[in-house]
Amino acid sequence: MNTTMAITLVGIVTIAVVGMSGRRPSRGEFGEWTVGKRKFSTFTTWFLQAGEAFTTFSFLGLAGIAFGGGVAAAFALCYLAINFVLQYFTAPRMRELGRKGGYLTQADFFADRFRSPLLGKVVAVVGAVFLLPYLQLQITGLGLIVQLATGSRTGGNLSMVLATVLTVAFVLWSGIRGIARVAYLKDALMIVGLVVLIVGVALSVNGGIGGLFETVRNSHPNLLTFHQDGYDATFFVTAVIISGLGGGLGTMAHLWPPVLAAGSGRALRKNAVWLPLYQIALGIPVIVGFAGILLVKPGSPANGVALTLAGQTLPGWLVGIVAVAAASAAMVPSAAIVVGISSLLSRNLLSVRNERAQLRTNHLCVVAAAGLALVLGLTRPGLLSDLLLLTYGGLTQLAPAIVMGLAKKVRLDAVPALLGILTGVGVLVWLTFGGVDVGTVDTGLIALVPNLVVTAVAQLIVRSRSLAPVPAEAN
Amino acid sequence: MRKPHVLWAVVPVVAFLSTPFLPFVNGPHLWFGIPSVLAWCMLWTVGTTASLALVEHFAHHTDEDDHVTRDEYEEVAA
Repeated sequence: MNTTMAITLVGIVTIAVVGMSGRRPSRGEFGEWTVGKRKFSTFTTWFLQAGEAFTTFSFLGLAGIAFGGGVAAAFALCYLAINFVLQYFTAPRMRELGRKGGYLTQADFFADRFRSPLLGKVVAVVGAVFLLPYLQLQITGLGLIVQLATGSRTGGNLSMVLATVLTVAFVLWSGIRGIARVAYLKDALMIVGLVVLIVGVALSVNGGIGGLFETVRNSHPNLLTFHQDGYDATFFVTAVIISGLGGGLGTMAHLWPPVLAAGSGRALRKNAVWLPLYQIALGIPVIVGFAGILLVKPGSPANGVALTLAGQTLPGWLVGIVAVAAASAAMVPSAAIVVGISSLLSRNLLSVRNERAQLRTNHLCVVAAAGLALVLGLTRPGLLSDLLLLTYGGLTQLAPAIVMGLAKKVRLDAVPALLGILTGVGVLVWLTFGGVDVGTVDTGLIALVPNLVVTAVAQLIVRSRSLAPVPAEAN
Repeated sequence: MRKPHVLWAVVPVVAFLSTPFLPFVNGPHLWFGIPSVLAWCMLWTVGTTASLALVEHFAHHTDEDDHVTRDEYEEVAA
């Protein structure tokens, strides 16, 4: 075992131990496990919310897009900032409704605001199905990170198993408090890892960061613009809109517990104001991706460019630290996603009423969801990749109903909301797998149009029926 | 609109979405040694904090936190 591998494994175990230490004595209630006592401070909520923004995508995907598509990778900075603009207005309202209605999940919101347990169940299924590939993405991403950092495929697989088992362990033991505790460590590691990466790149490129971009401007000027195949202005605008709406309106179930656990709306607003500054750190993987254009062999896998570059420019022990940082960027979102999936299944789909029985059922769902994602990640890594294409666009189909549900008076009925969601998801599936050429327009955004039309027409029909005079009884 | 200060929140959104359509941004330019598009997005990320801080500054919060948040949401939804 080399130094990098040893540091990585020790780091993964340390992350889990920190997560275990987050447990507080409780009476074994589901609410305590999912949202604490709804009294999390601004500080804790900050790290929980920030934890959702930095994932394996930050280390692998973003540098990969910059490597292949240049400045189009900056879309991540834009949509995350728009997320916070929307969250400034929506998150305090979600928390307020959650406190009054006792929500523990996103589907609770749907069932309560639209007075429809059926809608809650449908949303629970949609949420769990679309989040499972997202969970698998984090786990396989972690394996890829360790494989690239250590050069060992076996080490990558071993890390996937170890990290998944340990994540399940600390999630079951500590719940959201464990995730919050690990989120502190993760963010510290992320900052260190990103700084190490950028310093390594700056020292390796002739002329530092400035020299890097002067060379790119002279050799690949198109990479500094939106004039590229697949990464044009349309891609940028539609991807920013759909991802901005998705995160800002709480369409992903795992984003709800941190909001519901916040101690006040003020805490959420303060975080929405200041968290965009934190996202500036995402500029680093973008710059690293550009460095890959000069330093990594052309044709190399785009997603591996950041870790490949780390291996080329840093000593083994520093690569280990970067790998631990990247592993933490997989483990914290994995923990949050697994909580999101399991709570939807146990509370909304299986509808276990007793809180303690709900917790036991939930724990089984945690093990099942994480186990399934791990097994598929190890044996059939491509199986869910098609489903992943639908994750963002599919979940964004919940956005119109969420907006209507947040209003003081809900002016949308459950059936139109349900029909709109199903239409949007159906159109998205057709666009994605039906061979329809839509260019670089985000399919999720296209699917929102029929979703809105069906929702509006169905609502008009429902309203006209409810207003229609009752025929007089024949004598 | 009873609370026009919430419009400050729209400014960074417009700035982000206009990125590809501004010739002085979308070109092979370098600002501060980095691509102009990246620099523009980073600047407006800071701008997002500034605009939301303005919204927060002009918002009339009461001690009952939740009443305020409901008003803010309804202003935007209106």
